[in-house]
Amino acid sequence: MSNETEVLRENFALILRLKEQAEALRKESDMLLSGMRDILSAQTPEALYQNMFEVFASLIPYQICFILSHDTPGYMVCKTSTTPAFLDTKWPVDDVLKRTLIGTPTAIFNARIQPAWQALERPVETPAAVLYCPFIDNNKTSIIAFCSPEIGFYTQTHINTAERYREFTEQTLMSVQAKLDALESQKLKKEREQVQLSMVQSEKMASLGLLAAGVAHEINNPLAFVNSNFDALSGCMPALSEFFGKTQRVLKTQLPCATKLQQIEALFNEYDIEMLMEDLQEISADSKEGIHRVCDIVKSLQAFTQDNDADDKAYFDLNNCVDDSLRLLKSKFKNTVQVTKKLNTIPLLKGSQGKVNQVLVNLMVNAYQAMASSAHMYITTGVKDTPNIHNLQSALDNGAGDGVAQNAFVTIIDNGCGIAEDKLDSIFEPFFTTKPVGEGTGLGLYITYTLVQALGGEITVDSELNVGTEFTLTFPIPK
Amino acid sequence: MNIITAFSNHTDTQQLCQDVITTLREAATQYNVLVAYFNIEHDVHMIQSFLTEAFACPVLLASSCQGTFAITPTGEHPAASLSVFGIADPDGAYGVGYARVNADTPDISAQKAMQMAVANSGRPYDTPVLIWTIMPPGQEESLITGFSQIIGPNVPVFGGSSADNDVSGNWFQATQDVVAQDLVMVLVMHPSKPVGYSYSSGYEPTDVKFVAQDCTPRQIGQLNGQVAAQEYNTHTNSSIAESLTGGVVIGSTTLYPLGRPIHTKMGVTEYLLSHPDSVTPTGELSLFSAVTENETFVLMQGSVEALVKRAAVVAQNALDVLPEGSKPAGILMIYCAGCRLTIDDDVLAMQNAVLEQIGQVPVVAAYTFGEQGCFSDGKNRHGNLMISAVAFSQ
Repeated sequence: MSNETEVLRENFALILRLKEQAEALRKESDMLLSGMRDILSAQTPEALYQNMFEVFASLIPYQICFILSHDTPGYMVCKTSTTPAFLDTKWPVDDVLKRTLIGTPTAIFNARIQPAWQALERPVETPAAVLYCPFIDNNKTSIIAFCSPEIGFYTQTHINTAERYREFTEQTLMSVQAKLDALESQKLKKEREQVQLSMVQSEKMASLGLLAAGVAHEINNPLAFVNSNFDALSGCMPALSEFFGKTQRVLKTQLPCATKLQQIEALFNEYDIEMLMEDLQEISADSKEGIHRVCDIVKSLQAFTQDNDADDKAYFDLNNCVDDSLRLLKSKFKNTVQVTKKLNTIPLLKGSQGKVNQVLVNLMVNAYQAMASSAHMYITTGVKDTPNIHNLQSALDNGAGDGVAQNAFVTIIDNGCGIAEDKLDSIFEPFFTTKPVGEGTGLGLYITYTLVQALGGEITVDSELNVGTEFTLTFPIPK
Repeated sequence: MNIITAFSNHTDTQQLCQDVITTLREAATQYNVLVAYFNIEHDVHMIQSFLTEAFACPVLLASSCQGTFAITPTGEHPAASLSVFGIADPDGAYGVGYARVNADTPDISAQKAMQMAVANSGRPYDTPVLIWTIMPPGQEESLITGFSQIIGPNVPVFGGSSADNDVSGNWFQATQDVVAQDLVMVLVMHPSKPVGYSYSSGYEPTDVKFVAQDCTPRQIGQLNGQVAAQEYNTHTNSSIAESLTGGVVIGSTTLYPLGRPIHTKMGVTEYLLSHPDSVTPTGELSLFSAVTENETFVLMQGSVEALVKRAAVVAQNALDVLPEGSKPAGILMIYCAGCRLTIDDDVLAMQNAVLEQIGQVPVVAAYTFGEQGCFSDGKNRHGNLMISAVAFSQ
């Protein structure tokens, strides 16, 4: 018998073992990569943890897996587990956990005899074998524990695997933490958006409240004279009715035509029909004017309250917005504020008309409140060339002069009390107000700023104490 | 981690012990554990006494067939009277446990020994990296089962059954506390550096297959429906022709063991060997390991040349599975006493083959009446005519 056959068989076994190891490594790499993708694609913390534990399972088999973090001195606490019963369990740091924390993974052949399990205040299902692996989490050492129902399941092979993938585990948990932060940030962002939306609505309702009296006045005035006109019309009706009755009777008689004409002419004179018709025309024109004024004010109100955020194709006419806003404030400004408008032709701009109206009303009301006697407000719209910050870098890179863009603007200038220089930097901050306590929310300009940003525009302010303030809104002109 | 091996072949037991004690003391001041094998021509009590008085660490001592094998930095011997494998590993943890084997409940005895060993290791809850065991021949399978009932079936168990020089039952096991002939001893190991191991035979399968029937735990009544001794004799060139109606056949069957195919997951078939040691007057074959009814065996075939070269290959295999870059510290080996008796004077050639293969890596090997180990499938087994090696690294 030759020993060569035995040697060949062993060499073959060695080659197979190496091949198996190489394949196992490749499989592990593939598995880990796909696992990482699964982790990062999770959309909820629950899915995130589930994916994380599945990735760990691809490394080391387990029935239960949980993570222990530092709690009070001498204790660790379970904050993450595949089994809910383990959550919030408090673990005394016994010799095994201590060695794990300061060293390498530790395999326990039978957890039922390990002191930490016996000392748990809240009993949980105790597995047989446990593999504890240390990892760095937020600069502190935590422990991930894999549990198996089979005594002595975890051996040196698993310890070696845990050691080999310790860095991966730490990276995974860091990714999980980052993802959790991202999810939390998304949640906070959504909540913030909700709050902002709510604040915008509240502010809009507050503005409406402020405008309500003036708007009511603006509606009541035309309605009053329309009503009066109708009263007058009603007063004419009996005479007209009588005139038409008598005229009809004259027409039905067998009298000669000339006689009929004489009698009708007498009726015209008797009822002063010419005068009556003039009155009726005047009443009709007045009423029509009154109805138009009511329609305009209602349209302005609608424009102020409309919210077409969801409509990507919404456009607004900045000049119309100025007119709408002034219309809503007409009653408030009457006899107190002299308004000078200079509205130049502007192309339609992209965005919600309601938002723009809210911004303009806010600024005009602020201006109104800042002005005392001899109040004068100047409103100008137009188009101007301004540096385009979005294209500036590419323009610099390309050496091209594409750093200038045309923007639409509206300036609102008042001759009010002005804003102190040291306050100018704070006026767009939430809850900043110079008004007495209880009179201002401090959200008006913050919301104005937020709305202008949402429209893709910019707002700037220039002010001099006791001289006046100039707000300029700039909006990009769509190409 | 440091491994120090020492041996002596002195005929005077006191001097024998003094030789190894001197060597060990010169090499290290403290040991975690000493594993020692000796030839029963020397008094076990004296050796146990000298070693335990000289060193404070736990000691495992067992008899080895016709001497022990040692390679040390200062020399080597294939059949030294006393060889000691000293483990000095301040960052590791080791625990020794033992129990007398109760013939009716050997697994309980093994449990006790294991519990004692893990308790003494200083890491009473940790899964050991490896178990080294010394057992009395006879109930090794049950003892392995007992171990697994405490620490599970996945921890590699290596070691051998203690042996005497003529299969007369004069084998011994001893620790620092006790000397006995029915002691199961366990060394729980948590080395600070990686270990590698290998478990193999030096035999080739033939085309002859046997189905064993009328089996008692370690006896086969029939092979392929024929009287076991006769059927075996037919296929082995009449190797036991003179003992068909009874007698010891251990020397005649060494080159023709029965092999159980173990199909590993890599697709390579390993063979766990059973060694027929005697024939009953009614033609049953007695073995050094247990068989089950209807178990299929492959007749294996060996040669002195293969057995001589085999130890070196097994030692090298153990070194090969150490992690890349590891520096070997020493090798603890088991070589079947049956093979050792078969190669007889070629034991020196066997030693030279090992030296040639692995160089001056410290080695201690025992010649045993049964070998425990695990193949690449990770399952612990007891076999005969096997060779095993556990390699430690620095």
